[in-house]
Amino acid sequence: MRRTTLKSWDDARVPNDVAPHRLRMRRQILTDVHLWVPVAVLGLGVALLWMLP
Amino acid sequence: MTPLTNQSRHWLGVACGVAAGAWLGAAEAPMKLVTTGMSPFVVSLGMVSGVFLARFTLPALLKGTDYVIADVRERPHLIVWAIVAGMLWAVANALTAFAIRDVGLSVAFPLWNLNSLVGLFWGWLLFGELPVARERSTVRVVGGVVVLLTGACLITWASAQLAPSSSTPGRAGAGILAALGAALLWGTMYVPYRKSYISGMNPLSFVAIFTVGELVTALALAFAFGGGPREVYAQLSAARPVLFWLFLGGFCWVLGDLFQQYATKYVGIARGIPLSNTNQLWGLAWGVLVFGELQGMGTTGQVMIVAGSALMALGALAISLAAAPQQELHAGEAAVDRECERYGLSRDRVRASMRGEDPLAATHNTRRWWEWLMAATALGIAVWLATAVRPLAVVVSGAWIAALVTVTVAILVGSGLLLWRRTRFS
Repeated sequence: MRRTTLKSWDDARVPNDVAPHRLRMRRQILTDVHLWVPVAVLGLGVALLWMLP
Repeated sequence: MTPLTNQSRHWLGVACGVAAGAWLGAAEAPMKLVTTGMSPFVVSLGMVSGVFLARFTLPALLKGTDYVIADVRERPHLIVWAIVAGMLWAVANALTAFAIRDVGLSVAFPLWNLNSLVGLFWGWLLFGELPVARERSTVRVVGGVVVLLTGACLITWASAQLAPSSSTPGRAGAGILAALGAALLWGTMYVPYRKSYISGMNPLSFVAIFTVGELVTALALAFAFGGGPREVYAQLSAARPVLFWLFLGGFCWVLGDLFQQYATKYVGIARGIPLSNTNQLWGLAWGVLVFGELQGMGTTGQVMIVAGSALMALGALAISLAAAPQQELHAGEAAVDRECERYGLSRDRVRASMRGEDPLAATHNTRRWWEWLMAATALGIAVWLATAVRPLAVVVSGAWIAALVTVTVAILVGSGLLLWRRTRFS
């Protein structure tokens, strides 16, 4: 069985250090106009498909 | 490898745009053999399945899976854009089926070809393309697009004289809306393309993700509009003798689309889309020369076809000669800087990629055995489908097939070699 040492516990904490970077990245994606333009147009296209038949 | 100068980058992009037109047009040839009365959504699904296989196999063979995975991991935020782009393509493709049903191809085609104007607008608004209205290159691009669209309209209207009217009475408004919707979606699809390339992503990595959004959406639409999974499966099984042609069409389409991606990378949206839209000219060449379409056309129709083709070629030439001026290059660099700052990318690596260099290849060039397995599987599926092909009752000209295949393959080899020598497919 694998023992949990202080070092491995520290390693496991690494994602927490990375988290702010990921959070920032997520925020940057969600506030990017380059995303919302295609997403809005896609929504419009799906709505059109829904109405047309 | 010498970095690309602005001029050589422009001409490389133009060569890719021309090759895209040739191969996207060639993709129409196998599709002309499919006349079984299948649902257009099932036809689209069959083609997209071939596209899906090719989109994984070609990047794996050209750059290796290690490279593609490392490229995506370096810019993970672009996964969202690639999937949205794939979804845009599939929804636009479905809209064209409704447009053809409601107003016929002659009205629908020129309408959805307006995607080049949509792309031109997004390129100007979001990526700093064509920043100065009175600049000679801007006039050439906008003028070229208008001339190209006029030529496309002439060809489509002339071709429609011979085709039976396929419009549905009382649904003209819906059909026009569907065609305009397709133009909007296809024009907007280039926003994710361009965004990925100004972030330094390789087009081959982008298409591998793009195709997931494309296949899942095409599948969902086929189920929704094709009568459910069982009905779709039944139609696909019944269509096995023609599935090979759909796969072949899909494969040619992938080659054309890859060149289209490289054109978007090296000359931008405003120039890349209209050059790729010359596929109509190539589709016409296949239709007229190989399948004998437009036989019995009157003199007026023939004059319209010749004039339309000449206008399209003229428009493409004007766009090809419109190299980006210094001010536009600066605006392009500002767009690159925005991405680097926003997503923490290395400016040096992204700029190197825009110059046709490949910084990632230095560390990720290992080849894996499963890449050959992927290629063998794709080939095996193609051979399996080919065994089911039955002789078709379609008269074709063997001599013209040979001539057009020779020309399109020569364009593929020429442009492919140029890309390899100048950028190693970066």
